[in-house]
Amino acid sequence: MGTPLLTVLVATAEQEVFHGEAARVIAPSVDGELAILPGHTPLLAQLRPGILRIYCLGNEEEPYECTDVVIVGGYLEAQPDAVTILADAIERADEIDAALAAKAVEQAKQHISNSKGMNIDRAIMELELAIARLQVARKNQPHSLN
Amino acid sequence: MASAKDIRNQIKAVQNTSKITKAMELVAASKMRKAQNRARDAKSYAEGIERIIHNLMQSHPEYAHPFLVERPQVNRVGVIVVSTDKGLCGGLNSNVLRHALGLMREQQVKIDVLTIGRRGAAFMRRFGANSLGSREEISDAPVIGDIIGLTKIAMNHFIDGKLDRIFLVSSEFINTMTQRPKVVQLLPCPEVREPTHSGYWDYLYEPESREVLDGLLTRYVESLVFNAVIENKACEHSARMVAMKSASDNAKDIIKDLRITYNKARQAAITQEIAEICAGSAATS
Repeated sequence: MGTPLLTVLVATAEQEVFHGEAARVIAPSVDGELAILPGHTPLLAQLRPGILRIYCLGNEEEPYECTDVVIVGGYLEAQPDAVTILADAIERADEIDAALAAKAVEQAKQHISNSKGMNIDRAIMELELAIARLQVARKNQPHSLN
Repeated sequence: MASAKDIRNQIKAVQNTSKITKAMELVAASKMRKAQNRARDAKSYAEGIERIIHNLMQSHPEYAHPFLVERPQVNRVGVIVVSTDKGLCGGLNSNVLRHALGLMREQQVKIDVLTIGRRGAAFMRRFGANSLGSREEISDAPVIGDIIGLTKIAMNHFIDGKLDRIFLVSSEFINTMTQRPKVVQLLPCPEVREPTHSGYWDYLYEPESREVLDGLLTRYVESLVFNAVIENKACEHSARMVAMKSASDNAKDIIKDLRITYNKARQAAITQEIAEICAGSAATS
């Protein structure tokens, strides 16, 4: 009791993805991974493709329950007691096909070696997104097999 | 009095009409459920971004984004009107358009309009308003891409100083029976009336405040307009269902009245025939 929590809202333009209390949020900002704990100073950050992790309080054995989703980009606002994440798009683990994701990673790598100049940024973004997808899908796989 | 045959034809005609209205009612009811769900799902994002902008208006950013600054002199005003493409949805469009017209008359300056939906576009054309752009035939499952072109025009005009203030007029979905026209000031972002975060503070920005604010405020405008479009869809199908239901009910009443008139006419004809036969037989016997 007494642990301060964050009120977290994750939403895309079409629907709400997560709304509830969490102990910690880790988001991929354009300048690097960003961990937000309760009491954070007000912050506005732009997000890049990657994994968004939300740590909710769990039971005694496992103090934290972690929810991973793939975020395609968006914005994050932090206040001391709340985090609002407005995503351009979100993919949940059960929506991702691991085999397809692995193929996409290979493809994205090829794109990077083939493209030059302006296109390279785009290719890197695509690779990041593909890797995030693969990671989330792999992490979730044992559960889906049981 | 109309002959029995005329009345029979009339009943037939009303029945046919009521079949159509009944079908439209059912179609609208199923679309309404989907549209209402969609409007509810989309609300989170809109509320989230509105809360952020509300907080942002109370902070003291070093970079004054044009969207956040009220202009001292307003020379030209933009109005974005959200209406439906199709009619037969009760007073929904006329309410919104009347509101828009009221707003336009209030302004002391020149006005440009941007319209979403064919009804609004046609009305503004008739009215002779200067249109900057129009978006028609948005599907029942709108995506943000449907309105980006239009909001881009509005925002560019605002940034270039061709418009100093932009309003958004749309229908607010309250419940299936009630929809209310709503006017909000889209740009510049309205000033905060009830401060929730006092003191002199500012956000940390990642990366630069300019980059973050540019992106965020663009999203904010798009989100408000997108939300208005989604809500308008929910309003449209609800209003149409209610309108078609009352049309079907009306048809039922009319058929009932016509039936009574028809039966009366038929009875009168029979009575008359009997009277004539009786009179005839009385005369011969």
